[in-house]
Amino acid sequence: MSVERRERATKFRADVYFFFNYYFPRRGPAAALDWIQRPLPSSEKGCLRRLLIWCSPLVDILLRDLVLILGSTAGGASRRRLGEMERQSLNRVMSLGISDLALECVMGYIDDPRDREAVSLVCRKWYRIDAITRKHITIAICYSASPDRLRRRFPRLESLKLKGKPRAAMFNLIPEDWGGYAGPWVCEIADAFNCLKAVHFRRMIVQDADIGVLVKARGHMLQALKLDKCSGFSTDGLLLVARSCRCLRTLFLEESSVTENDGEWLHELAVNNSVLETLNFYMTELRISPQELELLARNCRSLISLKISECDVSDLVGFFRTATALEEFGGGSFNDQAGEINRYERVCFPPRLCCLGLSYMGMNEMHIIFPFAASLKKLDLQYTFLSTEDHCQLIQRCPNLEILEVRNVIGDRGLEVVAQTCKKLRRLRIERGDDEQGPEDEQGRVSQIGLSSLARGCPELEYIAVYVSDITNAALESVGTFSKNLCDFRLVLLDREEMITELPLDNGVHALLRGCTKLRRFAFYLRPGGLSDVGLGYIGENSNNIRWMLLGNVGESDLGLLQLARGCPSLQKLELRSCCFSERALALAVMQLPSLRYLWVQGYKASPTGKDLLAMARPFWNIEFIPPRQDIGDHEFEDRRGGVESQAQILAYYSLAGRRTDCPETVIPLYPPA
Amino acid sequence: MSRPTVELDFFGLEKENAARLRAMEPKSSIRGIQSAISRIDPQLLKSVFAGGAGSAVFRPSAPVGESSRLVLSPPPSPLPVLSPASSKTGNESPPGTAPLTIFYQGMVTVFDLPQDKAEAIIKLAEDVNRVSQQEGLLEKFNEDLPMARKKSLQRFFEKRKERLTALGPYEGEVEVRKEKTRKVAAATDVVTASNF
Repeated sequence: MSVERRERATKFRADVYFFFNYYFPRRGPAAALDWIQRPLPSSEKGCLRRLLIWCSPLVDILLRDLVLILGSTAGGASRRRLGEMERQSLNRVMSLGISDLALECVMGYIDDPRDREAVSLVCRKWYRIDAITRKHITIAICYSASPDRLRRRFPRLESLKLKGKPRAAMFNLIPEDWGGYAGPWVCEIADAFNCLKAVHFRRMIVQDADIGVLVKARGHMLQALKLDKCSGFSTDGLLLVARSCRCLRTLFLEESSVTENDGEWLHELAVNNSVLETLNFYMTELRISPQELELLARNCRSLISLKISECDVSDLVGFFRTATALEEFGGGSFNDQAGEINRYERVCFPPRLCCLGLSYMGMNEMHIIFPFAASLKKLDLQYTFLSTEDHCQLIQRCPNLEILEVRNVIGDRGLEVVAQTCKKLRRLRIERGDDEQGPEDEQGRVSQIGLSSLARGCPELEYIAVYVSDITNAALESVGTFSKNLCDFRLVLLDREEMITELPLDNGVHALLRGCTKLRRFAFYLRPGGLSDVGLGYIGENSNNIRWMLLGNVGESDLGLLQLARGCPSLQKLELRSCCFSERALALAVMQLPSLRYLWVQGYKASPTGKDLLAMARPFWNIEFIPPRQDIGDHEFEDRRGGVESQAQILAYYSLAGRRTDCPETVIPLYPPA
Repeated sequence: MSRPTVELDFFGLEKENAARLRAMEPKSSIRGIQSAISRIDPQLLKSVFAGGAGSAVFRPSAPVGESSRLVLSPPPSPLPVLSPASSKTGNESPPGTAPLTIFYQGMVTVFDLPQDKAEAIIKLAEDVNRVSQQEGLLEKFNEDLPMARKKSLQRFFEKRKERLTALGPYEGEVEVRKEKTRKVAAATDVVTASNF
């Protein structure tokens, strides 16, 4: 248990004790009631205070009234004064303590998982009540717990999110058969979780049989099913979902590898469902026909979000006309044929559309967005064929943009337009373009210039992810100065340019972290010389709230890592790539970081035996090793990409389930011993 | 003494093993071995090889600087023991085993081993050799881990390439633009040229 958690639990216990034993008896029921009826602050502490209030014995009597009071806004609408009779029953009840029923009602209002943690540590009764009232659980790595344990701990779960493969799988760095099988979880869900309505599997292997088991047991209740970047299933599984899950509101399959057996699933979905709100099979290879989409739009009048695989946009005219409630659309494709210039002129988007991403859209079709560009809140241009100039032309018409996703072809010029136009921008992602033979566009480079303009121009930014070709300390300082709402910052320095204007970035990152105090996620991927050991020390000292970190090519020696590990009090998940740290330093760092529960490393000073890694062996800490592929030597000069996946990896995580029993050959569990 | 005083060819170095040794360790010091042997007390040598037994270890009086490589010479057949006396004294190797001679940092060691054990030792030495080579490679790779690309974008780029190659040279988006910029560039050239 981390220090922070312990302190919170202790304080909470102290608060509860104080209220029962001092405030209430000394001030009397009237004063206590008065205190309860006062409007509540909306801060985080308010949540705990609410719980405190709810736990008072008064709840038993005033249950209904308090629900009314607390249900109203902080402005305090209905205030109710107790009559004399109620005060008498109040005194009577006071001596009996809190009822479990009351507590259950109370806890239902507490959602934040960390508050829930605190609550569950107060005493056994509260632990039990938290257990039966917990609605949602996210398990960050599915091997950290067993399905059975989850059932015993939270039997009345309504929503479950499980993640399997490490994040690096999105970059082709994890073998396909690494693991993350949904099977065991689905069996437990079918057996025991009778309240489950929402299931989200991310980067897991889900088979048709698993889907079958799931929908047979829970299909009648399932409202949301997300198979997010999953693999192992086919359209047969989707057919089962379509036929059995009539109350499904969300079906999410983005970026999953789905084997195509036939296209009937969409038809079945359209015919069997009338409440669907979100359908997403973006970035899949599923083949569908526009008529089925139109049928879906006719039957599901509440459809507000649709993201599809490739389907020519000119064929979707009928769909767009029918789906009048649609707010979000993504996918499709454009196929410019010579001689059919007006092919996309007929396309008329639904009136409420405010989130858009059109695949393969080029300069010639861009103008179809112009009529409603001013109402766009979210725009995805990552999979378009637009130049820097095109980006400028389009974005200058979108003053209400809140979320923008592009490739670095947007360039510093495009970022300047963003800074001037998109004052409400909250999230910006700038992905790496196809720079195999130089940048996509002569101006398609993002540098310190663009980043600085952005920071100055868009003060509401909460999320920035950017691949830059050049950088300076001053640009990072600008971010630290102006982006005060930043929660998530990710910077990758591309390796194409030989000379970078200013390295190392020690001072810049120092200023950035000092300035962006709300930062919870941080990625910094540079090149050798990009950050010194001192810089790593700065990161350690100034990351009080950071929970996830990805560091690449940083530091000069083991000393840097150790300095990092002296800080980072909240760091739960650490990913390191292409650094020069030894196994010994890695082990030491792991033992020092107080909140660390997950570590992933690729590219480090590996020893032939790996024995220094075992210095981090401790109870409940699983250590797994993915050895490098044997044919490294052969590919040394020829296929360097082959070397990427072939590099050794270390994965370590806390687990209550013990050693993995389903490892493929490519994964070697080092600890715990079998 | 620069010239080796022992002239007996104990191991048939010049004949049989010379070729094998040269193949395994081209730079290795046959001369070094010879000079090592030259410093060994011939009587001692004779008696050891006559006995053909156990692990007798020699230490030459002066260290041999050159060959610190491990040189294994597994004889498929027993070493040619040249001293006629040895065959008489009859302290021969136990049946099924043969002497394995190891030269290492100036030490010479002889073991009587069966075929499989000898092969195991040789394989072990080869493995160690290969691992240290690999380590060097790993280090090189560690410094040079290429940046990984996101799967979704990689797929997009591949599809874009497909679309561009499928279309003709004047129909693709990028191609058209490149064409335009080329034309503009050509036009300016004409202008500047016409100034002269």
